[in-house]
Amino acid sequence: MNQQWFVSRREWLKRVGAAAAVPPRMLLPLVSPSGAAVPTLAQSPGAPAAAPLETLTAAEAETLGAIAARLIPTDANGPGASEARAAQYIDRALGGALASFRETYRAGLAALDQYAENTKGSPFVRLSAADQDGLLRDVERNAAAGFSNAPAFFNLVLAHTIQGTFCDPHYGGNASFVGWDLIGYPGVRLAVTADEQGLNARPAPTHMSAYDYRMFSGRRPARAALDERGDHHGD
Amino acid sequence: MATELKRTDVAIVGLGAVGGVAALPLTQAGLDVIGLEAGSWLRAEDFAPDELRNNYRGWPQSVQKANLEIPTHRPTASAPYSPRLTIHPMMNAVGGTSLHYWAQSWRLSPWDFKVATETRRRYGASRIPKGSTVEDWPFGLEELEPYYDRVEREIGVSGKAGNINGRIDRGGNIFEGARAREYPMPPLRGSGFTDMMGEAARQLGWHAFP
Repeated sequence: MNQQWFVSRREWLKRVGAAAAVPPRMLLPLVSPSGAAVPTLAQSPGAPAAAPLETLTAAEAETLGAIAARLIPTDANGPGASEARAAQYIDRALGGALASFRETYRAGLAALDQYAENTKGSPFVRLSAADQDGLLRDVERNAAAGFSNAPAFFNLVLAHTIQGTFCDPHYGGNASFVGWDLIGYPGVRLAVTADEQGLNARPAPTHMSAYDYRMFSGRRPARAALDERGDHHGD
Repeated sequence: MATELKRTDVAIVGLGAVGGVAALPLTQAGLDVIGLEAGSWLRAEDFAPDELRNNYRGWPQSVQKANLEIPTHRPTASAPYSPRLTIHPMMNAVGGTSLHYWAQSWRLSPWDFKVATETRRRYGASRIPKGSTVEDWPFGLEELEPYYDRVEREIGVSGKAGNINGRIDRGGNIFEGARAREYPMPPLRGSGFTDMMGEAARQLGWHAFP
């Protein structure tokens, strides 16, 4: 993930839509006729996850939630990483599959807060969205002091935020399938009809995890304890 | 201490795409066959469409042998080694990589068997670099055709023939080598996307086929 991924929501949706050849039509029901966002589960960036934290401290989770909320923001297009509970996904994964990144998160989140204090006089979560975006751009461009490798940390959090927003809900992210609904992905299906393969088909979302299907439920991976070896920045 | 097992007629080491195919005719011929495989026997329920697990977390079952061996790689002899990539293009299981591939079972084309001769004829001898080891096969497609045919029937390959005993059918791949008969299974249903692409290709004078 070496590209400049810190792009506007509109541009980002365009890219996702182009890649999947699916226009973001599923977004429409999320926006009222006036164009205003319909109230969603958790509007405030960094809203605490519903489930108790498993790995991060409360302060770390709050900062991480605020970062994720800027990377995939809640806006007129619909819900974002906050509603998907991407930070909850990362919290759980850091206790298992992504455990090798626990220290990277500890150091990176602390460095971000210190950088926010030094430059804006406030912890990251207390800043305006515009100030938060400015600091995150600094981190992305390696212009922020106090990090051992700021762009690597940025890319890591971005990759994991994307995972937490669009993964199978089994892993604690993509809560209520908001990530899949956002991009018009109808979800896991074991069979597809000819009509559903038409260019203009818009299959109704299944809102099922792969492990909700009886065929796969017996092979549910341990949520956090997946064996993960080697280097995982790649994605 | 070595354990002496019951004697067998044939031991196949590795039940991948090749060893697995060998097991069938051997057992059908009445031989006792033992297959040795480093991976386990995966079942349909092991193949959950879970992008995170399968694409990003190095699906644990997929490379059981490689996971135990922890192979490493380096781009040059003097570079430091790196752990193997977690996304690995092979499978360790009964069936091997045939469990996990694009499910496209192409025959080689007639050209492939005469690649050195055909390259010289079409592009000139100078186009083959000095010291190249490229060679023609010692026989042509027709030698392998009955075996292709047999495996295609066994595993149920689908498609539309474009050349049956030299008779060209424009509904299929007109460039393929001669086959003795049709595919054992009909072509897959087209989708809106493949129909559109096929039509666009035909308008360009190309030869799309299902």
